[in-house]
Amino acid sequence: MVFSSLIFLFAYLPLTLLIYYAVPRAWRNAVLFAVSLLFYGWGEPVYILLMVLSITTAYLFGFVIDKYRESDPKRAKYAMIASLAVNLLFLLFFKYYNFFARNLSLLPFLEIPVIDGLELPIGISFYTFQIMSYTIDLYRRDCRVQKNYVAFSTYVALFPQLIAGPIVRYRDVDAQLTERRETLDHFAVGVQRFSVGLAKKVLIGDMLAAGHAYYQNLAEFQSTTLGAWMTVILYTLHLYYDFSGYSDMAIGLGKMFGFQFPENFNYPYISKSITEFWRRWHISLSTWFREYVYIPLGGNRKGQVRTYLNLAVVWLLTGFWHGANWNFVLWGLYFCVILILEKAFLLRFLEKIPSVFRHVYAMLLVVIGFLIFSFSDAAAGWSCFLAMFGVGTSGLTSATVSYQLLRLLPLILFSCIGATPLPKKLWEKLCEKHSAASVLIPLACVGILILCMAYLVDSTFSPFAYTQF
Amino acid sequence: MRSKLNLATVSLFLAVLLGFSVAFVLLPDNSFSEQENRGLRTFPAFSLEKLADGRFGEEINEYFADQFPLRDALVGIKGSVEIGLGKGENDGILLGENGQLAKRLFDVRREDGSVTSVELDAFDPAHIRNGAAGINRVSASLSVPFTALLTGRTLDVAESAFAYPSETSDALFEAFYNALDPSVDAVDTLPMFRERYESGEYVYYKTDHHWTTLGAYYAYVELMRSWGMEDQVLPMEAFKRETASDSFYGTAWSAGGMKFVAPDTMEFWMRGNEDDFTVTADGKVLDGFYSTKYLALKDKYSAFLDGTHDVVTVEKRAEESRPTLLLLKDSFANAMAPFLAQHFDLVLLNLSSVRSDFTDVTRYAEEYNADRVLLLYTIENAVTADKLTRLR
Repeated sequence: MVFSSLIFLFAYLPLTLLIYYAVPRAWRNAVLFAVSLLFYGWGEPVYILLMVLSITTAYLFGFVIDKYRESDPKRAKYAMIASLAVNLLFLLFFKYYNFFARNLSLLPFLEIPVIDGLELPIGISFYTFQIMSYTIDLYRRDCRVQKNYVAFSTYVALFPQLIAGPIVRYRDVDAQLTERRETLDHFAVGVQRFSVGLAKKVLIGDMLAAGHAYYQNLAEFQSTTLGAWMTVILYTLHLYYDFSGYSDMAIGLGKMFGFQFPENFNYPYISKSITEFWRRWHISLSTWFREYVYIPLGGNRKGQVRTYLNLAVVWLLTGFWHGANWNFVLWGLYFCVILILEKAFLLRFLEKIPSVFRHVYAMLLVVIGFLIFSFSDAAAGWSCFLAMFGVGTSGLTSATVSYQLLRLLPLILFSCIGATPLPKKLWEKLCEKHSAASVLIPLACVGILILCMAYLVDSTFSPFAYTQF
Repeated sequence: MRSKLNLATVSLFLAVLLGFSVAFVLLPDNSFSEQENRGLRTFPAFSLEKLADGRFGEEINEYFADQFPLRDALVGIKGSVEIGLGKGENDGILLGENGQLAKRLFDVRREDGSVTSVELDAFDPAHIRNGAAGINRVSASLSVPFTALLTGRTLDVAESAFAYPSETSDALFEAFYNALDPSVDAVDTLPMFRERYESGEYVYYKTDHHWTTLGAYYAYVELMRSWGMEDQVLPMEAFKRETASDSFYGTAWSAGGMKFVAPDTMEFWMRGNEDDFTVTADGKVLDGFYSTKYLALKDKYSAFLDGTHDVVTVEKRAEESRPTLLLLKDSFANAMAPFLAQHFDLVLLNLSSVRSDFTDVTRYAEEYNADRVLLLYTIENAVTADKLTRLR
């Protein structure tokens, strides 16, 4: 199920809230777990079993790790590795088996059969990482063992962040699982956050997505330079609104049930370097890789060569995490090279030039990055890239391309401004000056809800881009 | 203050969520949407198989959207907001001067038979060439005179009403006519229609994709001219123009969600001899050219020749034998048939039919003893369907 669907908003959510707040506190995790399974199983019920199996494995190994982590660290380590291996095996098999089978079969002496109908279980990349964070945190003594199966399952399967993050580290919510307090103020903040996310997704993101799909498909019949730029710019904006909108909704829903999830985005498109961009984009994933891969590998403490090597490992994995396709690998390596260059000398150079150039530099690289990201077909991606620089096009623009651009221009400008902290600052200033302005909040939330309802009724379906990873 | 506001935020939010969910449960389901002219999804039948592969979930989603309380009003809100934001169109329907609507995005069929996943205002030149080649084939192999008339879409005809550029329209017709063999008798009505539209004549509906009865009349005149039958053309004055409906909301209106647009007026042009004709549709005799029962429904254009049928024949009773005109056609021909029937016995074969395949034109021309064959088909179908490419 997705948040931006009528059935979620007008059946699942109200019922869940009703039941959740009607039952005694002790049952609330059980309620959340049960409704989360329903949420997850809505699209593909069979994969519930897989998730429950993953959860149970980590839960059981947790006791072993806990038992030996003081007395016999080696045995605890084996238990941790076994637990991680099982979870990774599921991820590798379902997400990457066919990719490897296909690519290895290209070798003349190998013939690995491809499994037809092997579909990616939704959210597996996200929940596997959450489960792994528990196992590792436990081994590192960063958290207590969770003896309550329902509480642990709730942590993994919690529907707000189940299928597209933020990836919550176990130690961040450990205490909240059993001792959270739901309050009206929290709930209200959650409603606001959820409404903002819903608007970002339905009113802006989906419109940008439609524009992007149009331009990308039109390129086949009418290739222009402007059209190619529009394809990548609309995709770049769409991905931010889609994904950060999802995170906003997840965080908002979490608050409605008394949870505090970590932030996932911090205005990534105002970055002045790629290093900064990755501190602002999909923060929970970068944090995960830093905590559980980069630092354990030695981080930057083992000399320059080793640092670069560690970065390469992290970025190869980050790319591959996004999907079993070469374009994601290339995407990871692309950022790896830029980050290494920035670390080596570029950052020092960038600091000397006016910030407008630094913004242009960062956004240009981000846009090209998302071009690689968005084209699973390398040939199509390459011709889009060439078209951006006037190669192989029928001209700079066409009347049709320009018409569409003019039509979408207000939306594009609006979404560019919305990706900066400016609207929030203006709002805060307004509230400082006129405290009465805050009465607009409840009205705005309901207004957004009704408007989104109108857009959803009209579109019938709006999936999230990031749930496919 | 703050906690009061928070209370207001939470209670308003919950009130809307709960209000709509309760209304959804209480309100009865509709199986058909008049406004959208399509069947609505009712509660899906449950099966374990559908549950397992996720189809049940999808169908429930559709059911929810289709049966949602205030659906029509909400669709209208969305349309008005989009127009209000200055986008000039909604759901691929352009809004032009004087409330003129036009579909702008179409399925584009490629030469290899695949269709684009996203609707576009484009065409595959190779597919258009193949369509023209089909017409060339038929024209060459028929032993009786053959004429092709490709009708324009509203987008092509009413281009002066829109800020939208006409380059793709122009290129489409150019690609088509360039690929036609010079020996093919093709009647290009587009310049005439554009001119008449621009001068304010009501030749295409504002809310529907068809031509008006006036538009059909003008096309009839062009055809008669190309057949050297100018002297037999019935002047406009020969008809009494009856308003069949002044509340016709067509297909573009249904798809565009712009509820504020005014309805169209639909006319029947009566010569007075309508009772002399026998109209048969798929073996059933109709009440003449016009099935007035449709005037009470949303889909009013179906009043012409009773809407969609595979085979329709028109004969004039008590008349010595008249020449037979075989039409390979889509729905545009329905409004023109009453004019042509004044001169010919008609056999109309629905080239767009999903049940029957009438692409073997040579065979049908013989079967119906046609004295003349007319292909009357929309350019839209040349872009999105593959019937023309299969003509023989």
